[in-house]
Amino acid sequence: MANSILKPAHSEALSKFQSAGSIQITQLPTVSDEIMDWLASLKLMHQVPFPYLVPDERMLPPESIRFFYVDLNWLDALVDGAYSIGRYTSTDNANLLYNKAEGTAGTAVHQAANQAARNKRVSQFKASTSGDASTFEMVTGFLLRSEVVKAFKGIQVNAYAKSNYPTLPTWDGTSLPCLRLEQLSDEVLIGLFEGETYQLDIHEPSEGLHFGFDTETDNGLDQLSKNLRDMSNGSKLSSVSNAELAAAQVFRKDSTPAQGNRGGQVVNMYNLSALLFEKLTANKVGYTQPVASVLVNDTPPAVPVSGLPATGVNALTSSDFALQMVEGVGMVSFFNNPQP
Amino acid sequence: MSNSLVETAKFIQHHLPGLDAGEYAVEVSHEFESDKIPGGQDTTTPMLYKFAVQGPRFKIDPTLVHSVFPPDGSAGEFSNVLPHVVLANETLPWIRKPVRPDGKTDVNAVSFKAGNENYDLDIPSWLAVLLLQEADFQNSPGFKLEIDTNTTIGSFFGTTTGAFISPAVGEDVNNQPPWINPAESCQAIKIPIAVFSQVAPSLADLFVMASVRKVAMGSKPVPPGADVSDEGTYSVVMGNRIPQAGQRHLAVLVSLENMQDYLPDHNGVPSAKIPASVQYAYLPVLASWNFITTGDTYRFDHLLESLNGRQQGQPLPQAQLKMYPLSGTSAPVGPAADAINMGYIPVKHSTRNSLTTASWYRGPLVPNAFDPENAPKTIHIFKNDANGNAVPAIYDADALLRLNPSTGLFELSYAAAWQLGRLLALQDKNFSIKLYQWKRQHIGSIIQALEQSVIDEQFTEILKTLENSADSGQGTHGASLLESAMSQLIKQIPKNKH
Repeated sequence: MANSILKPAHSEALSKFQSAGSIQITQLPTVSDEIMDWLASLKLMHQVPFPYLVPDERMLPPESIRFFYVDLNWLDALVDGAYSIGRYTSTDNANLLYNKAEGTAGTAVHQAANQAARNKRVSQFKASTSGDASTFEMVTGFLLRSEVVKAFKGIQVNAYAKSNYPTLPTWDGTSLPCLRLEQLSDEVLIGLFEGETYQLDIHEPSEGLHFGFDTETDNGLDQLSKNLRDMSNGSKLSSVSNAELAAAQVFRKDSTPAQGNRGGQVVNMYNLSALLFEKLTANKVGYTQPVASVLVNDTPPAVPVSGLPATGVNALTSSDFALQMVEGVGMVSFFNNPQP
Repeated sequence: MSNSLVETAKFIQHHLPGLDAGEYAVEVSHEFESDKIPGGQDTTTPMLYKFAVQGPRFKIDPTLVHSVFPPDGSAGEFSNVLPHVVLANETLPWIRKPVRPDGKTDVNAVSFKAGNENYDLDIPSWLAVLLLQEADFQNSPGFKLEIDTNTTIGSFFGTTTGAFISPAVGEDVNNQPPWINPAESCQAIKIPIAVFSQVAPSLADLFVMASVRKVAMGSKPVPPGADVSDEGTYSVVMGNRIPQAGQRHLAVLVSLENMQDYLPDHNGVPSAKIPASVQYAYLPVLASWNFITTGDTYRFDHLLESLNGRQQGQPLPQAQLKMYPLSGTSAPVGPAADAINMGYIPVKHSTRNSLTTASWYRGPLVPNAFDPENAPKTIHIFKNDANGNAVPAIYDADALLRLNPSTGLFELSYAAAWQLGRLLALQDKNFSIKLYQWKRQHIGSIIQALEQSVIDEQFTEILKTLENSADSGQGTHGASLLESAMSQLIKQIPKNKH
């Protein structure tokens, strides 16, 4: 009699159980940051050995750049493989609940890994993170194998989509979010961006911009000169000719002569700074700030300092001098035009 | 992050340390004054506290050298360039002074205002980049254009009337602070005194040769796990000599601490204060690099513009990541060509049944667009079971093997990816244990929650039945009914097999 009371109710429960339509898992378990971070790194292929990324060296020969799209199926398989540890290999009905739990939690983990991967680089900069946990729709990137990576440490890279790439004169565009930009070895750099890369700008590192002179041609000879730069906007002003440099004793007389130069190789830096100061203030363009000489001081030194120019000689401050002496910023744009 | 053509770089005069490197003493004493103290006041014995600000003197941590120009080991035309070194520490050029410690220095920072801007007076740097070339040493027998990598800190100490000048002449090697170890190895260079006077900067030059650069870091490569700030601050020390064509050059970052009396004047006239006994300048080398001036202009943009074997004025060839036909061979044709154009390469494949065959593999980086609209996801790692529950779809890597019908070859890519993911997870014990524990705990609790909801629902039914039974006066029957109901329920709920 007892059985006859329970049986219909119980079987009804089991069927509800199986359809799970009435039983919702409302609260998903939280995953520790450590697990999430590992999976996010995996999604960005940090742990993937290089031969899996570029299976043949001939795909990325020395002095080459290659563009690519990321196969998101591949990443799903990779992350699922990692998440699969401890997964039952049986699919029978006894594991119904288990499979549902593994599937539900697994879906949530994959989603959260997307969000964590999106935020991995920005959180390194302690910038505000995104709450976007949607699946990646398009990830693209580049591999650069070149001496440039080694010689110019800290090169700067921006990627732009076709819909919003910068053009002259403003060169304003909104760059694609960078998911990963990392030097993999001495000469290999990888970049991953969310979105379809159309234009890739590679800049010479700002901190490494080098110093030097310009050249002018005089009587068929290349000679050193120096273009002045407007301090307010960086635009080019007039040039200081080699003759003017020589007249101001910018090059030491008794040092070895430099090629195509009226004077030696060794530069009298302070004279150069004073000459540039004089030219800039004479130009009255872009350089209106009064500048102190190095000897402006209330109390003269008790012990005479040798090698200093006479009091009252004005020169550029070291920062302004550095700005004047910097040679042009190098930037090269690449366009990704997939072959039809 | 900057998106503008004009990358942000701020040029700053200097970044001065709070205290220069050196030894300091603080004297502390108390004084009480009160009517209640006999005599009216009381003074404690002063206490003397000594401390020191340590800073590199004869050598620096090599990681402080961020980059150099011209690049180390490079060969190119650098005939209008002043060499420089970028240091990852923004105060380093100013933690010491090139002026004599006994002289009254006129080089302390004095701020002044010009318009709305605050300026400092420039401070001379104790670091200098000297550029030396082979020809410099030709007239100096006994000297070589090379760095002595096997010397000690103690060797810089000497008398002011010895054979050499250095940042430490006139100092007593036995009277050094405890962190200066005279036996510690370091690097040095011997420069004939005549050459030194020709190539060394004057004291005035040192005022303008070092500065600070603050740059945006947002579009730079960062190593994984490293914390970085939006702006990086570097100090830059420039050299004062233009390289000569066709020469091997050695650039050295040296210390000119305390050496004001020995520096040449602005025209390279040797200082009259160099004793007649001095034959060479013996300088600590904090960093050094070589380059050769020959051939083409070595420029950032030129190097990039000639990537992929590109000729001037041509579009960039071979830009997609795939195998291109090698020069001198003809391009493959047929189905294999299609696969290769899609980024596949043939690999050796050991199958489950111990056969060896060739199969296609493609990594995650593919040459063609992955279009989610037109090419729907080709693999599903979770699938819906008969009841619409998301369940795992893949239980082993072979489930992801594909057969390419046109070539009859297997395609391994996703199987390899899945297996790689699993192996990487297992290889990282810390991660795999944490993940497994999390799965046990949380999947267990999901199952428990599911079971609980069923029990709750069914228990309500049973209670109703019991209440009905109790109402009809069958009390004893009710107790055994509950027992029977529970045992039925427990038996039939699927077991959680952990």
